[in-house]
Amino acid sequence: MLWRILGNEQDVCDAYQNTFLQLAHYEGGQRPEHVKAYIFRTANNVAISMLRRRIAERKRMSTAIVTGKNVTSPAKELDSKYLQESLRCFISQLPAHLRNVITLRDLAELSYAQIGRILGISAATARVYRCKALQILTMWMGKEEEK
Amino acid sequence: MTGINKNNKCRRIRGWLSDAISRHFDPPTAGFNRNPALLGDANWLQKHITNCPRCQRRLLSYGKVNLAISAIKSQPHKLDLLMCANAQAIGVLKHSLRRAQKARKLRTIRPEPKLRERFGKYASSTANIAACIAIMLLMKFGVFSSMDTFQTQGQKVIKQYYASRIGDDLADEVFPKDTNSLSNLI
Repeated sequence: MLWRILGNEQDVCDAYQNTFLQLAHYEGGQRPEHVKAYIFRTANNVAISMLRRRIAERKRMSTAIVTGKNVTSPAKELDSKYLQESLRCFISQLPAHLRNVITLRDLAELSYAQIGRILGISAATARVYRCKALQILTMWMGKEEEK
Repeated sequence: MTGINKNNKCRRIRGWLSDAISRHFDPPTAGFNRNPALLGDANWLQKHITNCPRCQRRLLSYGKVNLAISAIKSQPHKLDLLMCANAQAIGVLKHSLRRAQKARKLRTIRPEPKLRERFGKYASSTANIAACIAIMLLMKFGVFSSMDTFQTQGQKVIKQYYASRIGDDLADEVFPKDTNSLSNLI
């Protein structure tokens, strides 16, 4: 999941380390009730924070992105790296409840039941959230293409 | 009027798209092929999409999201990624923990494919064999039951023939009602 969210080995290692550090420092060394759920949620949050930081940094030094935007649209479509990066960027902008579901379902490939247990919601709610998240992502991707 | 109709169609298509995508997240056309409710409407659906720029854009965007997710999923990583991540995480632990046996194991661990992925390639052949066995069993039962029917029908016909030729009494003697005794006679 971390690899799919971040797509960069060094970042994956950092996020992994941060996740387990947070687990180690969880309320003075106590063990969380659901360790697996805790790890998944923490890893997800850490990775998204890193992704956001990366995007912000890239925006600051935006020369590369400006040149990227000058590329013609058919070339953009073929550029899977560009697609991946824009999807990652949009996923990081989703509201937390939708983002968690989409990352756990599509990037970590967990079942709805597992997602429900991790997030403390029902499987049906997870399904609805994912559908909503996909609609929003589609809308944003469409808008970006119009630009 | 046509504008209203077009909007309704757009809404229906939007609903189907969301439905198909939320269930399978396959390309929308694949969703259409699987949904029998959509098959009947495939013609007007295609016609509508060819003429409606909004639906075209929507389809294109769904396709793009699908493509991006597939690309992210299929992006390969080095096999030793887990090993590196573990090594880095263990690196911040205190000395005694770093030297522990479990830490040593974690430093060299590699991701193992899930059982489902490992045996996934055999799934289709196993399913084929199971289907063959099921068909053979069904055939076997079918053949036996038809043989039984054939035998009883044949007996009836022969009994009728004898009854018409030599009379009911003698026919009953030759073909008693109890089938067990008949088989004993044979």
